[in-house]
Amino acid sequence: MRGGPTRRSIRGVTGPGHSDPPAVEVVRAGKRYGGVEALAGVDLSIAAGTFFTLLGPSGCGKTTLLRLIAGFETPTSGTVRIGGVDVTGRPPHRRPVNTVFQSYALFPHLTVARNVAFGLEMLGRADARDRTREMLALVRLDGFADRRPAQLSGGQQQRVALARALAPAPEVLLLDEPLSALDLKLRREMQRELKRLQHETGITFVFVTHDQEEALTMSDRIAVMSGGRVLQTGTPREIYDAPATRFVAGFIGESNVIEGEVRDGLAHLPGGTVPAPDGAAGPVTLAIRPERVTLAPPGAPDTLDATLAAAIFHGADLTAHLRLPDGTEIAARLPAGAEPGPPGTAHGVAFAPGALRVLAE
Amino acid sequence: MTGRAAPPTAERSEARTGWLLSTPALLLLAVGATGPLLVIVVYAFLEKGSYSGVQWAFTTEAWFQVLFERDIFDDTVSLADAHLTIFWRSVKLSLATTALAFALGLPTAWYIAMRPPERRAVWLFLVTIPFWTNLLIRTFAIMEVIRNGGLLNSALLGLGVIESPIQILYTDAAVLIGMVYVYLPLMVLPLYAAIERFDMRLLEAAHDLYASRWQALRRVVLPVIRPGIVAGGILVFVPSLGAYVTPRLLGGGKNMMIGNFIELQFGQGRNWPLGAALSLILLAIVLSALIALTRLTQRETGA
Repeated sequence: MRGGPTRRSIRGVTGPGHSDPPAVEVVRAGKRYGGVEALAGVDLSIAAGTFFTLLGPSGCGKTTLLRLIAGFETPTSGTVRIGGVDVTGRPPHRRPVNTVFQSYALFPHLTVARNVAFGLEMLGRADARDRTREMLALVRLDGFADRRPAQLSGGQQQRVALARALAPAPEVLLLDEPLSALDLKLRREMQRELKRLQHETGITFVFVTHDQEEALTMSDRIAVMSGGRVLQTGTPREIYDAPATRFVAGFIGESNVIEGEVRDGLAHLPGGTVPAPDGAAGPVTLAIRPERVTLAPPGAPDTLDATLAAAIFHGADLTAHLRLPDGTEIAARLPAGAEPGPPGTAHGVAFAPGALRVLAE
Repeated sequence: MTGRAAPPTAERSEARTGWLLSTPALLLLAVGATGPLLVIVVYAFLEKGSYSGVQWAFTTEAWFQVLFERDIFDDTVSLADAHLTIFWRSVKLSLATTALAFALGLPTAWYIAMRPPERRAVWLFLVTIPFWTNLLIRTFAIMEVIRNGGLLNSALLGLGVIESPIQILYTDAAVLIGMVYVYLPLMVLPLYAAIERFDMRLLEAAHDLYASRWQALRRVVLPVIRPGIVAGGILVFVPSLGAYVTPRLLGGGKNMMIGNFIELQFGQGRNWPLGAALSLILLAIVLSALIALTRLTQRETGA
């Protein structure tokens, strides 16, 4: 498979060059089911060749958005473009995308090879046999061509579903929580496998998951969704370091959230003042990751007064749970050797410079 | 060795108990199913009685009569093409009934399976309503619709589509319409059962892999619901082949099917051995059709 991935677009005409349109472009897409708004005007632009993740809790609209791109649903309003071409009203079989379904949806009456060849046969591709063999080798299922899906394990079925969706070399591969049915070990293995396949084929992957850790480790870019909206789009590092809203801060990793007010370049928070983040003014909600919080002697400058509520030892590190005068809880991740003392001990809470983020509500 | 000998003995006695326990069922089967069939087999090899019944003398005359007829005056033998015609018409009409019932049953079953679960029961109930009525009454109802002065012809005349009534009643078309009407539920129910189990995500997967609606139906839906199609086909084809009331009333007695022909031998024809032989041939046709279908399904779904 080395030496030039077989990247052939189905009906597309996208050539290489810096003027490439985004692989997927969603413009103000809305979707209502009866009175329920599943998507509320979503804008999204996915660059070609990236591993893009739609992340959010169940019911946030991520699967609906994926189905709009696949063509299983038509948006109530807005536009979907694939490779710069408006496909909003096009049925799924006329879009250059393929889907890996959550339940795999393998054809039970066909062998593994016939499953993989299905899309190629529908396109009338003369190289269906060779391409099928190539795909089975790509997902390391060479010896399984004549088996039925029911004779395979979950992980193997997953690979068949991948091979089947990759075989027609779509412009975009859509993956609907494909790893959720696998156990943890297999899941890790398939995460690496997916990254490898994305790298080798150069196809744009749009991956739906509710698992923030999976999203952080696999993605080039992530869109965090909630309530039918995209709250924030960025690289995993941007999303983690600079969450835009309280929801994003809480959903991705752990976060401390503190309410206060910014006056004269100082953030007036419960228990003291600290230097305010740039551009903040008036009443604010601030967030900071536990690993950016440190302990200082009580009353030290630029710290908040707090008392220790509990200290929990994790092995590699230790989490100190502190309470500000108004009752706000702050978690601080400390080195394993730290000794915060018994509960009730007074501490100063210090924040790493520039680590405080202003959240939008 | 002695230690190992114990389990087979226990197994054997268990098997013996099993057979003993199923004796009533086996007896019932022997008397209820095999018995009458045996009578038919025996009668098919006897001479016919002068007025009716049989004479206890072995002959293969009945089987000869199935295919050939002897002239009453000079004993010349000629092919009984009337018999063959009846067989051919029966098979043809039954196949057509099955095909038409499938063509109508598939969209019906699909429609019902797509309703919300709580509404499906109502639709299934509506489909089975004809079963609640006597077959004779249903057949007369069909006559009322298709006869020359009936609903269909009046409507077509009224609309100006035709100028004089179309003769439908007492034709093969009437028999076909009647049988499709009578046996359609037997096609819809197994099809519905298969479609209801069908995973609709497979349909999405097919469309996603560039299959048009027609290709998805042919390449994914039909193969997956094949057991339902086979069951429906058998349930319609077998009774159609032996149909008696519907061809008698709608075919007008002239366009006979095997069922009517057999009845004729036991009634006015007073030729019980021929009737018995014909029954066995009907049975043979049904059995070979079933075996052929089973083979076909096994090859498609097996290895």
